[in-house]
Amino acid sequence: MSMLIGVKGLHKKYGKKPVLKGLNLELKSGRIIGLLGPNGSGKSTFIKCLAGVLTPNEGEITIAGKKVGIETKEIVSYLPERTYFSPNMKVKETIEFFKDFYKDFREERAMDLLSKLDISLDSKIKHLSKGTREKVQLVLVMSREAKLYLLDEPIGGVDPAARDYILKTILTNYSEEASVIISTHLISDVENVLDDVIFIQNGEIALSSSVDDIREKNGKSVDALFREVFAC
Amino acid sequence: MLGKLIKWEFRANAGLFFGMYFFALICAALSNIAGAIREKTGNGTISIFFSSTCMIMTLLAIVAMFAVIVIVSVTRYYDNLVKDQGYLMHTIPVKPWQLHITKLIVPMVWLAGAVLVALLSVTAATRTMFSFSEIFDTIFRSEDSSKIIGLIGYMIVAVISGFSIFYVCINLGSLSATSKGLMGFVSYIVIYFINQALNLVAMVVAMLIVFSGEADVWAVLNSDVPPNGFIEATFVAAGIVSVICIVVYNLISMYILKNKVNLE
Repeated sequence: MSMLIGVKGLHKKYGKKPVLKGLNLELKSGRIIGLLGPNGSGKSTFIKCLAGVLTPNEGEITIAGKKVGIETKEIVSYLPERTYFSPNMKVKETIEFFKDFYKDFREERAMDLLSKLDISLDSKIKHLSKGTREKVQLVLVMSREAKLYLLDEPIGGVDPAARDYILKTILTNYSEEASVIISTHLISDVENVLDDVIFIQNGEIALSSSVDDIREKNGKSVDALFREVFAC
Repeated sequence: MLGKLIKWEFRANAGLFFGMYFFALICAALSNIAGAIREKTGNGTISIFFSSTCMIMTLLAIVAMFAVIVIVSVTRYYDNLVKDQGYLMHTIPVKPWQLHITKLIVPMVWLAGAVLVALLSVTAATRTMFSFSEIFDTIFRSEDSSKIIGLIGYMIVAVISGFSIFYVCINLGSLSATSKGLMGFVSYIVIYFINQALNLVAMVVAMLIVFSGEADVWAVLNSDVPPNGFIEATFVAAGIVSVICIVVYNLISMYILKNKVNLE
């Protein structure tokens, strides 16, 4: 497995408040990684820095050996917490948009997933429910053959049935040699699909390990260890 | 990729802007019909009321057309690059300067279309059948063609300058961690005053250059007629200042979009 992500001395402040405090990290390709931490720990900020929508104050990030920029955006598929399509766009236009800008976008896969969800291609984004909008975005993001998928709280605001659908969509659509980073605080829902976990606490890495190692060394599930590490 | 960005930028507001064009032309056509009825029936109260209403509607539609294009374009820049839609726009593999320049080119094209529609509407509404070849001759073949071309050029520069100021303020505002809107507004006030000061300096310099050829400056200052070339020199000076400002503001915007993206 080759190195996919390298992070050195990553600092990010919002105003005067430090959010990331000198993160150092190396992540390999072909892994599903859980970025776990309580609310406000810096998970989303870290993912935004990887996606290139937030500029760090200090430090360096490389993805597949390249600094974050136009070349990394070609291979990174990012699902933010928010709806990022113009409300007036139709679903079919969002597909067209992805087809126009991402060489690795697979239209047939997106069409297939959307038809299974029974979402009309002629529906406008503004006429869809919040949950359906999130599903449309997930479908588009997972219809890319990217090298890295960054999924920021993909199961955050949805019901348990939708969580299952989302996780199934992620697992059945990412390419084997790609890595997936899933940020969440709902550990028990994702634990079974993860290869590695990174615990973030107050902008620092509290733990970085494989799920198997955690179970072997600590004799606990990731969820149990999380509750122990982040006990209030 | 620039071509694709421009295509999507046009598509985003095509319905609204074509609708505005169409509405202005419909109002102008109604004015034309109302004028014809008034010619045939004489100046009755109803025909005067109908033709006047149509004419006012045409003028309002023309003003609204320009205002809507400017407001919607600036709002779109904010929504598209600084707010939630930025999570998509900043993750597509395009260069940041392409994101920015698209939003300068496309509104200019819509405004050029609006000028054309306004000319057609005024022609139709006032029932003065001047042709486009007449307009072409007035601009390019008359004695004052250099002045008219200069004025048109100055107007284009002024419009680009206006968009550039709005965009740089939005980008400066985006740097704020807590008050993006307030920071953008403060930036606008500061930049507006800098612009005014620079224009004033440029006009004074232009005045000094023009007056340097006059033997009796005091007499010229007290004269009701401005000295030869004064107005032209003022426009040229203001134009040069505007072009320099446009370059600076756009470089700042592109720098922020490339190196300081801040979608917190």
